[in-house]
Amino acid sequence: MNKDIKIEINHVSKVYDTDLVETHALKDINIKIYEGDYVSISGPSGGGKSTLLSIIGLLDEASGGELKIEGKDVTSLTQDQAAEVRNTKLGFIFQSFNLIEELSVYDNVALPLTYRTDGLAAEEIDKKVTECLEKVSLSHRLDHFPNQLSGGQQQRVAIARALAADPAILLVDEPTGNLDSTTGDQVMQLLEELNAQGTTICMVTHDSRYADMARTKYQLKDGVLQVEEEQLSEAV
Amino acid sequence: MKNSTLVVKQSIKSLSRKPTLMFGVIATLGLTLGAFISVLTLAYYMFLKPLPYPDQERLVTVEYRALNAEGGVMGNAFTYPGAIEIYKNNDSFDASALMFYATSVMTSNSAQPTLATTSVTPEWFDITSAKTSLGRVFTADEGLNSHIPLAVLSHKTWQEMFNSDESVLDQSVSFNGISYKIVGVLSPDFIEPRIRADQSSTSVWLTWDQNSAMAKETWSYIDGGIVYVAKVKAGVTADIAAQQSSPRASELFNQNNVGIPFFKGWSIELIVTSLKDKVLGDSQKTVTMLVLGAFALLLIAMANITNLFISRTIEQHRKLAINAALGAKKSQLHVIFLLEATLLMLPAALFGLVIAYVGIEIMQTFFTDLLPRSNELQLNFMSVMSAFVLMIVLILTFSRVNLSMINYKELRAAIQSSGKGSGLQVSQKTRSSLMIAQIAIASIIIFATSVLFSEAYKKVNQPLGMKIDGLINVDFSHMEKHSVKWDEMAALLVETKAQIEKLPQVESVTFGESPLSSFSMWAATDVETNENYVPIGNSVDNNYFNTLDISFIEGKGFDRSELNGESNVLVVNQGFAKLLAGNDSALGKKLLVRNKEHVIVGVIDNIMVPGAENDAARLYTPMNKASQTMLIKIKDNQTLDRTDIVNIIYGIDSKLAVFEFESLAQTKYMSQFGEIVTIISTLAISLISTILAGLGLYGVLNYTTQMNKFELGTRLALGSKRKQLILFVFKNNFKSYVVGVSIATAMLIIAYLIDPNLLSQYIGFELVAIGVYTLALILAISWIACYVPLRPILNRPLVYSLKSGD
Repeated sequence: MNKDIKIEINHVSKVYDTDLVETHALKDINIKIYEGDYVSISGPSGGGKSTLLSIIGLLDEASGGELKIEGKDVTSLTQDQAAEVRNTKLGFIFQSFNLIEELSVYDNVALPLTYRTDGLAAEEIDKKVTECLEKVSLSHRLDHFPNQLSGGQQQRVAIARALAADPAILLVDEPTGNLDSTTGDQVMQLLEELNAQGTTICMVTHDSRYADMARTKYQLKDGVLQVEEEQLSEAV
Repeated sequence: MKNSTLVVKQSIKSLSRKPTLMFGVIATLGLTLGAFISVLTLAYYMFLKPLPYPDQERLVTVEYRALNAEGGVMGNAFTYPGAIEIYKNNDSFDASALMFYATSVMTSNSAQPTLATTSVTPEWFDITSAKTSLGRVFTADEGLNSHIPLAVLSHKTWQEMFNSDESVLDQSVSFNGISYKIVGVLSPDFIEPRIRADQSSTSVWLTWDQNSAMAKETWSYIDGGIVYVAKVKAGVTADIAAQQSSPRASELFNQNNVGIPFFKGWSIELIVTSLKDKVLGDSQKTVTMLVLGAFALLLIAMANITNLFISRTIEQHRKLAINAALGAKKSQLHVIFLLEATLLMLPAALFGLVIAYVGIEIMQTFFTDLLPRSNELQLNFMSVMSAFVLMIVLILTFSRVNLSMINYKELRAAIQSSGKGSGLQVSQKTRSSLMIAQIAIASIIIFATSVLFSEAYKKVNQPLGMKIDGLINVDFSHMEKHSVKWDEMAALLVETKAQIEKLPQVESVTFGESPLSSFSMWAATDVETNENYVPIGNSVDNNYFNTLDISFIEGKGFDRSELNGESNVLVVNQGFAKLLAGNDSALGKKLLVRNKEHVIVGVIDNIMVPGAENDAARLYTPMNKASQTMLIKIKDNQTLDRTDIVNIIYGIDSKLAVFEFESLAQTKYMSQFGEIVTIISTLAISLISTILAGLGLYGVLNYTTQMNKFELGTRLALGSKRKQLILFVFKNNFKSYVVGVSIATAMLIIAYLIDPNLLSQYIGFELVAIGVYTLALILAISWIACYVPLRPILNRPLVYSLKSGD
């Protein structure tokens, strides 16, 4: 089956240059993420996982290499072009949910849609928001505010928000980090279901149990990307 | 706290690690506190402090006001005999003194400097309780009609012109050819009351009889140089004194002017004003505005410093939490706050006193002509006390603000929760209130200063209707002016003019008084209607209008052949022509001027003279052979000194003297000094309040932005563009802007309703324009204050904004 490449990373590196020392956070990273894929990147703390996810998410700039999203080179975009890509192609799910306290569940989910350059009609926004909240089973909490929800519910709202713009890929950063294990499992379950429905996911986690739920598993240690052994053997 | 030294040391150490905070607080507060204390000191002198003379509440000035048959004010000055009469015969006063203000050429000095002299009767020194540091003042037998020419020097004149020479009492000093024996030097502590707004400090006090008043016997000539000061009898008010003396003054005026048709139906009213009111003039409004302005600046500064204190408390939250966890009581935390506020406020108050001292020095050096009693100003007990009281108020306010920010119970718990989610936060309400206060105060200051600035700027820059560049006004006098005949004097002046014209740097010379300093009022009667007028008169030659580039609306100027004292032609300005003929031509109209019928041959454009109405009536006659005043036009990039002229006249006649030598540009500058000071000070205040408000708003918004960094980062991560984010932050704060400017508008409206005079003269399109400008400026400041703190979030990789956001 010939699937579209959603994300393509070629020779990406990241160097933090401080006064005293040069730190190589990422070294020659190469990844291809295909449509419908479920990728996990795990590894020890400080290994470069979040840095890599930030670069893929255009939240940070690589020191070298090339990044393509749906075949389009996004290595050197202006800030507004990058914002446009984040808005239309990428869906973020953060460890700490990053919901905006003053906005209701509905408005939080609608937020990325309000940034669209093509300017969606109110009915269209309404349709999308309702659909996404249904996907995460929270359509009955439209008017609640984040502080009225449990952690798991908040993360589900964040997932709905990430889905709102029909992104090419969901970028998930430690989705269970702020949740207890039961709620964490529920969220992971939801992600799995979304992937089963065709959503491409790239997840960073330090929890090997959750990393194992992905189909493609990478380990990132000291800035170097390694494909998990079993996958390698499968490939062989 | 038991170990208070340790706590003080800790606080000093902790503050010294924050030099920016210390500098910010001390500089901002010191400057604004200093400005406030200096104007407060000025206000104290103006409103509360009695004049430094015995029985000052009984001291008055008396003015002679001439009213025509219709009750219109025709002049506000004494006739010479009128003044002498009241001095000799009055029932209302315990003591009175005659004074004659003049500027006189000191002919005993080879440089012929012009000094401010005041001829006085001896009572003047009693009334002001003037003491001498050398010699004596005039005695009772050296008063009116004693004819002994004596002089008393001011302390400054003695120091500057006589090098503090102790043997000065053996010397004489000559003014206008009269030699005065020096009998005393006034004490340096003597404070001369500034009775007239345009009065310079007296350099030399002369005996009354030799004063240079003209027409000493004439009841039909009023002389602005004469001033009458008196001490009313106990129990007699100023009004009673005026009522008692006016009828006789009026009677004498009419008796002595009987048969002069011009004065038919006129009456004299004596205006008796308390000396204090006279000295203060109408500057109380200015000082009130200054106090309010400085107070508003202080309020902005306080709002700014509240911001700084809030940031400091947030920063110290963890330290305070540890203190609380280790057992510090709430009262002990309060002591820490009080101590820190004191350590900052004390140097700020001291710096404020230094600034106030400098401010008072500036007022004394530059503004003595503008601010009455500024020559008396001193940093006094009241200034120090107000600095102290303000300091205490500020210490209590700031420590209270800090204390209100922390919740002691939560603080103790904070240490256990590793800081997560327990960070100290300033409520949205406090933040908004701070922003609203700054916006409101800054709007009022910027609006008020812009109104004053615009008025003053317009006055300074309005077209004069003539060209004064390169023109110098030179006034000559003759030491024996009472004995020399006019034909002789005219010949000397014509010769002087011819010699000056030969100077290489001189382009041309014209006879006639400077249009900027000529305010002689002449009597003129319309022959046809018998209507009386008092226009400003000037005798000029045939080149006068050309030299000043004054254009003619109709008719012509004078011919050389008319400069003989015989001709009967006149030129009037448009303002006078309008009075005489309405919209018709004034050419050919006949006026009785100086007892001779004249016919109008020309009408010139109105000229704008600082201090006079733009359409004030003006009248010009051809001079008789010469004039004691000349206007010298110098060539471009050339200069001419007083000594160049002194050298010329010395070669012609050693008894000629240069009485005045001043460029018209300088005259204009001096007469508009008030406006120029207004321009500079309003610009400075406006700029300072803009900067302070900008910094203050930046402080609040910077804090808010830092607090919301994570949310803003999230918005960017979700695809918000830069412009969208800036607009979002701006919109969030727009309410504060609207409320702030609304409060400012409401306060201005209330101020207008309380005192309509405050703004009524400015109301019009321009006021709207200034309002729009103020709104736009404050909006721009608010926008910048929103944008600048956002820049790091917008310009750094987003990942930094999303880090440690919780």
